[in-house]
Amino acid sequence: MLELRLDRVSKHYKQKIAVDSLEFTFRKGVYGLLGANGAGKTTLLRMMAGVLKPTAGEILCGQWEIGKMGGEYRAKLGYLPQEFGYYPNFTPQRYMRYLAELKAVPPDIAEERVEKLLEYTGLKSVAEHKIKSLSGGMIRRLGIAQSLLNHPEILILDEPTSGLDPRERIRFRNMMSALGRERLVLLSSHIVADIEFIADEILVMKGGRLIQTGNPDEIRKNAEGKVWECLAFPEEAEKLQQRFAVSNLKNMEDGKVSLRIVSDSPPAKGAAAVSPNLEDAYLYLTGSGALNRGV
Amino acid sequence: MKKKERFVLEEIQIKEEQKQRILQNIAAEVEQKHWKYTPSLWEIFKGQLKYISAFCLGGQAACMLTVILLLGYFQERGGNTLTYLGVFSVAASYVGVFLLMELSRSRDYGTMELEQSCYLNLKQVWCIKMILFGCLDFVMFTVMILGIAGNTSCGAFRSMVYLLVPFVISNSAQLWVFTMLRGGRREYLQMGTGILAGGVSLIPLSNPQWYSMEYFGIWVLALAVSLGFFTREARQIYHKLEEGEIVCWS
Repeated sequence: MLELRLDRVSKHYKQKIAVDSLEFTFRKGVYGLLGANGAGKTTLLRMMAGVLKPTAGEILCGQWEIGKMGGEYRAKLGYLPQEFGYYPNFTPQRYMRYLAELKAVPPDIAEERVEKLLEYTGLKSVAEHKIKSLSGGMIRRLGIAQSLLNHPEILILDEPTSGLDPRERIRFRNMMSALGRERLVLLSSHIVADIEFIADEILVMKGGRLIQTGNPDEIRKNAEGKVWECLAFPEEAEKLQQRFAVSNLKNMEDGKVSLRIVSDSPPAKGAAAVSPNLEDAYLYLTGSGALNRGV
Repeated sequence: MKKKERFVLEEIQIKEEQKQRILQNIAAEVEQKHWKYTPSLWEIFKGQLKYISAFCLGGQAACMLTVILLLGYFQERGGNTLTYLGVFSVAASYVGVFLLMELSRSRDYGTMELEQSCYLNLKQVWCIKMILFGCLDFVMFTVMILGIAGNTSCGAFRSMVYLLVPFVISNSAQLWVFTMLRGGRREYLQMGTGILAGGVSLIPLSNPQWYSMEYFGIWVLALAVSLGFFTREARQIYHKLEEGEIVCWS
């Protein structure tokens, strides 16, 4: 059975600790990694993709350390880096063929696989165009397509939805849900909704540590009784914004402002408790958003 | 006994759900097996040749062709020792530029991280490219050494040392630029370093004495020192590739 285990994995850069002694076991399914910039998400994904060596600890695939497995591990892996690099004068088709060679896709099925994935990601019509002429969303889709070339058992995607329009994001979510049935998919995103819809399990990172793991409902429960909605005049709303983590703010027709606030106690008179969504829970767990920490 | 066995088999309860799960696992294993493929060395070389930049490979081939043409020209016109050594020293210091440009492509376009995560990773791809370009270098050096040895009083060994010094110094300097500097425009700096090394290799021509037997020890020493520096730079690149430093922050 496929299993990827983090065994006290750390990464230090001189004085800075990017990832701090993480322990977690991944199995089949879709995992979503949430965290603010600098939380250590990309460093963790890079280590799991085998491109960055941990300072301490081990990443084990089954019983073997991934660095020692070498090509055997990389053959199981599909990876989309945060910054997906490409040769601008290559066409998507040529780039996919090139990567199929590097990924040792059997030659008898490589061509068919390239065509299928270009079609799957809606790039068939631009397959012969130079990559430099494609839009950001198309390039991102090319990145997703290449990550699937070798029919990977482990799929690691760093910010796969950045640059995708709403329709493409929905398509991507459906694609990931289908893929997660038979493999391990780990993706990071800043967009909480993307993770909420597709992840079976969510990992929240802060300061290089995993501060919470669980399914979306479990994560949401952390903020149960901590989310409030209230109406305020604009000046008061500004003050509340400075004191608390405001997850949503809407101007009403009567000139007042409707605020959704994450706080341990009612932030204002008349504030009503509401059920939390994943975004609220994320704000609560990471404590981001408030200048004056109210959570 | 047979009757009993039949009776036992009839009693076995087959759980449909479990059966389906087992069948699915078998199907998944079969599917996975289809994807397990180890390319032969020949297939790897053939595959990489298709994707090497035409400019770099062409440049290297053009360099070799120029050397052959020049050799023919000098033989016809009766060039002296300094002509042979001067021109071929410059060629020797330029010849590494194309390989390093090819290796830098992944870094310049930011594809290193992705390539490093592939079955054939960056380290292996670089080795293949180095072997391919190295073969061309070998042919070119053989032509130059035989050309010098056949037309001047320098023997093959001495000619080899005279040509290897600018070659190794130029490559070491370019490797140094490759590892030390980050950010854009490095390819131009790298190329500039190679060109500069070509200019430096002409300095000994100012005093023909430098190519005499008395100074040969200094050439050998220079070769040893530059080889040491080259090895250090190559090891540093290998280490940075292993750690991921060069891959993630280029």
